[in-house]
Amino acid sequence: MYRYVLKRLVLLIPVLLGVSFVVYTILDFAPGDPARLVLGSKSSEAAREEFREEHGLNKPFVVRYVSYVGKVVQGDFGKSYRTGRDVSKELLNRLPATVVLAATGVLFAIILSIPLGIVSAIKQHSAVDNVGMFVALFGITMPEFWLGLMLILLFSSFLGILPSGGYGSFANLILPALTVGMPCMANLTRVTRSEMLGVMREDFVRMARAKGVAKRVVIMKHCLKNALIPVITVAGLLFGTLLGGTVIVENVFGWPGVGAFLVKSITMKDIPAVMGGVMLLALLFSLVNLAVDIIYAFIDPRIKAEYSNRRSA
Amino acid sequence: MEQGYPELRIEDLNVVYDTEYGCVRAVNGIDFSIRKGRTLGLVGETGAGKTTTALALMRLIPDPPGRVTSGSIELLGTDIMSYSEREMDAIRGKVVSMIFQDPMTSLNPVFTVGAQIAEAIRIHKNLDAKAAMDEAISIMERVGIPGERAKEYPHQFSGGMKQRVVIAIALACTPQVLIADEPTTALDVTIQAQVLMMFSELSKASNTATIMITHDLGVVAEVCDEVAIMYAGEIVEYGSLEDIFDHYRHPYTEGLFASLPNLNDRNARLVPIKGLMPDPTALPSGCHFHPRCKYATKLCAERAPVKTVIEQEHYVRCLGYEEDAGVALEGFGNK
Amino acid sequence: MKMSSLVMQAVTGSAPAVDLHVYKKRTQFGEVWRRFRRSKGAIVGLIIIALMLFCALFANFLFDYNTEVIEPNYDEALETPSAKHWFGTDEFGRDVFARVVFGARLSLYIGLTSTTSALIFGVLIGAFSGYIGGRFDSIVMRVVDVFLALPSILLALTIVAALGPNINNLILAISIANIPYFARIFRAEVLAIKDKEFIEASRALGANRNTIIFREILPNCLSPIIVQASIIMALAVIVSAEFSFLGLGVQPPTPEWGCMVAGARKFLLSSPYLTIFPGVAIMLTVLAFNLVGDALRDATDPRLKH
Repeated sequence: MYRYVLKRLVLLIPVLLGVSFVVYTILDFAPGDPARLVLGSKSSEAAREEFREEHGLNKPFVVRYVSYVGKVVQGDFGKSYRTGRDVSKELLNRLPATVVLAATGVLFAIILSIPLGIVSAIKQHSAVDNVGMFVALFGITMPEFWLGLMLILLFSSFLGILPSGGYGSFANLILPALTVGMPCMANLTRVTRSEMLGVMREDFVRMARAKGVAKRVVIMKHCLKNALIPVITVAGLLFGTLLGGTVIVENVFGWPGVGAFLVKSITMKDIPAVMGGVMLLALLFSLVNLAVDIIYAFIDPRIKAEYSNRRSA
Repeated sequence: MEQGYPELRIEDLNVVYDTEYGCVRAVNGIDFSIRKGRTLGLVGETGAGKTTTALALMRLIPDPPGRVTSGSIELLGTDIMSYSEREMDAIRGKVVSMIFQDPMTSLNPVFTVGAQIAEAIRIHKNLDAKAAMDEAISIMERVGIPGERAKEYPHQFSGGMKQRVVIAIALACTPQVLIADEPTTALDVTIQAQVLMMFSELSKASNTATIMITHDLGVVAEVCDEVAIMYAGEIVEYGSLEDIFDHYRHPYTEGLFASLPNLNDRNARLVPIKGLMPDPTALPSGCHFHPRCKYATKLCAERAPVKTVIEQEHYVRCLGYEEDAGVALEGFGNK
Repeated sequence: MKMSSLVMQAVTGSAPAVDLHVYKKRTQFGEVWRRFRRSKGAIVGLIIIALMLFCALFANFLFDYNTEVIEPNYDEALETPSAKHWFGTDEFGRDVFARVVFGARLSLYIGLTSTTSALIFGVLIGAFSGYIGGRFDSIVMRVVDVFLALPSILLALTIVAALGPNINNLILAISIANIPYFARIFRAEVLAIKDKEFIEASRALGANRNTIIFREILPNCLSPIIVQASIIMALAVIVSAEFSFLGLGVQPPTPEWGCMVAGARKFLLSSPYLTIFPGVAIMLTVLAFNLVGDALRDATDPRLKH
């Protein structure tokens, strides 16, 4: 098994290199002179030249990219044009907030969606199914910023039971997490339902029933384990969407995370900060997908067997 | 011939499926019974209602869209039509088992084969996991799979081996009645004979009453004692193996034999039955077979044939044998 | 289509084969349409899309862009919905209904252009990669994988960060972010179909690569592409609103829905309708494309035939 994990880990390296290259190249198109941006238009040409020299801005693209990657590997994301502080420090300060938000959002999505999807599938075309699918459809169609504002309107302003922003306590976390998890929840409910419906039509389900296994057991044991394989894959992919969502949700609720930092950096044309933020979120996404691949291998015997066999052979 | 106690008797079984294209009458008034240790062959083309009959016996017709509209199914003397789902769970796999057509899809890909066999044993014999697994391994060895492969997953097995696993599951609790739905159709020809032999030996050894569903008359000749020929949801001819193979009476049965190659006369041409199975939502009037029957008369399109007993258990459903119908099967039996 | 019929004729050497081929095609389309029509969701979706298209096309005839949508009219600022102003007025006294109607034009424009360009490039990349295969295919797919490893919003954010926030860059960002999805789907379709007999046949007849890809393969893989397009369309509408909301897309005073919500945020508690109406417009549009996409997927899915 750990060979499989190792293989996945090794495969992560070229992907992350590729991602960094793409992001670096795109951001290199950014017009404007960082030196002028940072030092102000009244600065002297000599000072700007010194700034360029210091930040390696005069070197050819490839050289700059390679040295950037070299530094990133050591945990150095450069200095923010805006604040002059280490981007890595800025990011690390904000990372916990984003991780907490994303994790709570995912948890909420999974805890609600899988049971709802199963019930909808078992009671296909029933009232529960119809209501569930209706809610799921709206979860997909509502833009997160608007959903967030509507939740503030309902829970903070109208009912007055939850804070509309802020950071620190669990109460602060509820609305942002709900907002960020909603699209994921809605998608997962639909995927769980359709996968369950698909699996429930399989021959082996009929076979299990013919053995005398009770319907409930067949659904919770035989069907669910099969349906979970694609559901987990989709959950991993949706985590990317969810991370993108944190960027928006953090802005709605004033959540002090990487996403809010990223948007502010974009508006300020703070390229090193944007670069670092995007790279960090991409890394987080890749790590989650790695975790998904590993969970996957534990559930799907086809992968498990492949690796255990090869070792014994 | 010993007249044993009928393990399974079904009477006037009717099954319909409600589809968007209309009501499909899949099984129309079937009856038969099987005794201990005997094997009944249920023969017919795809769509004749063989699998539906089998699923109805297990009370596993998917509902909706399927419904058993009438009929009784007596298993060991009790009608199971009124059984609750829980009561059915207690007899499925224990009193009556089923082997499905496609071994490739009949096994759950995420559980080991040992666990899948042991599951049936645990449910019906109240054993703990370890004891059930030990018994599963001994059953695997009986069907010719090395016991150490119990820890493997279905995708590591070949088709023939998978079907052995399916058979092991079906036989795990030594059921009194076994339904085998085309157990060898999905297998390579060379494996077919092997699996069939093993299957036949095992069910004979435990004196099981077996229903063998097949479209292959070769399989029937190999393992069956009685044969029922099905067409469009009805049994059109029923009799002992000898009745059907040597003295068949129904034009459809004749057609089935005529479309087989003849080893004695290699110059004989194969005669296919013309036409296709009728649209199940709109079965032909009168005798359902008449549009494809080379002896059909006008009356065949109007009047539905009833059971006509030829001798003892051998009966046929064809107007050609109803005395008042005046339908002559001219040239029947001449190839 | 014409090509494949000719090929069939050439291969089988008989006319009935051609008839059968044409006949099958037609009933297949008919069957999809029949199943599509039966879905209530699809009909609701189509009606909403028609409504939005109407707004987009005839906005000019309903309202005057300069006087009603852009220019402030402080006398009527922050009025609640009334017979005169159905959706009320914003802090500048502009009619929210007029702005929402004009917003439909913008959202559909951004959605359509970005989806179409993503589709064209994605299909081209997927087609050549899948058809040519070999090392070319594996290099292209590695690149596509890299793009997929970056959540699409992050990719779009990066592009906007580099090029600056405006409508054209937004369209560019959304379309680039979605190219990999089209490429991967279409490549899979091409791989599934490229060794089928009718492709072999037209190759045997000397058809060149482009003819085969565009006249033979493409028409046979349309349905997953159309389904994907309707989903991406819905996504593009959401993303454009989200970016404009963050100030990274369309800029005020342009009546973009997300932009309007951003402006209305300050008045969320005092004048919630300012936030609600543009949001409902986004939701309905996204809902419509999702409903149509779902119905199309169900209608073209052979597994769900039963």
